Amino acid sequence: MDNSEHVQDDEELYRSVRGKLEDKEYSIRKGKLIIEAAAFQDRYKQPSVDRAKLIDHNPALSQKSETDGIISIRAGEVRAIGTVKTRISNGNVDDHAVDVIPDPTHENPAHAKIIVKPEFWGSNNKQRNAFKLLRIALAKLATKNGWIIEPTPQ
Amino acid sequence: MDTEVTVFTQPWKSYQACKLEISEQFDILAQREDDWDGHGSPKPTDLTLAHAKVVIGALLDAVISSGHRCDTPSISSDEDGDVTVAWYEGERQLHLQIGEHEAEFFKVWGTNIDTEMDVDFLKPDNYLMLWEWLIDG
Repeated sequence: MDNSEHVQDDEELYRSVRGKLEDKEYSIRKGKLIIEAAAFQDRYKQPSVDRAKLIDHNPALSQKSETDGIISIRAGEVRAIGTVKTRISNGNVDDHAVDVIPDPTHENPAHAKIIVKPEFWGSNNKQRNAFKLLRIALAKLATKNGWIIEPTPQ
Repeated sequence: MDTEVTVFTQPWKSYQACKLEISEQFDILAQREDDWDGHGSPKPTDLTLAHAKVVIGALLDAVISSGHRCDTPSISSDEDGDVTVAWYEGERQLHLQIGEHEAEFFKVWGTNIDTEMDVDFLKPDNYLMLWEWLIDG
């Protein structure tokens, strides 16, 4: 299977969520699971996911630690988030489409990234806010879908 | 003859519990080191933590003094070292992002960024309006 082929809308994507409650990547509020926006933090503003079909739909292979949980979202759901907007200096607005692209590495051939096109630019503040909206949307999708593997907090 | 029962609530009591839970979350944040998440995120600075405490305290003071109940938010920090605050009420979410000198709010009522989210600078004049929007969900 070609791990650099286009990520299809119906593809399942796994993301590892840290199991320690104090890391605040998830919480239980009023008895309900909340995947927090922190679960999609990424220094480069391109959250990593694993393509399920390239790891035989075995979510345990996506766990970064055995105490971590795994959530699942579909590529089509991610693309349907809409466009992330950043205001530019002349008052116009730049639209950034959300996409999932393959990013296989030697260590992880199933690796993919959630990106926006064109890339965020401008002030750090604008980029930060735009990425925050993306993370909130991803977290809301993950909350709706729930755990594939539950974490085992210590 | 019907008996009218008046239930007295003690918002100050739940507010004290709320404040304690918030304080405990700040204690955890204050212990974070750079790269606390293994992704290179910096720890929040003392100035950011102090600013966040002031903003959250002022917002909840406004909420309580208007007769609403306190709800403990989820508090963390992000990849820029800003403090993040979130309340969840059904489909609605209110997020704050607080840096050393500025703060923004994010209203969320769905997953579509174009039509179901709003972001703006947080000002004290907004506190009550935002809270009432959240609990009206």
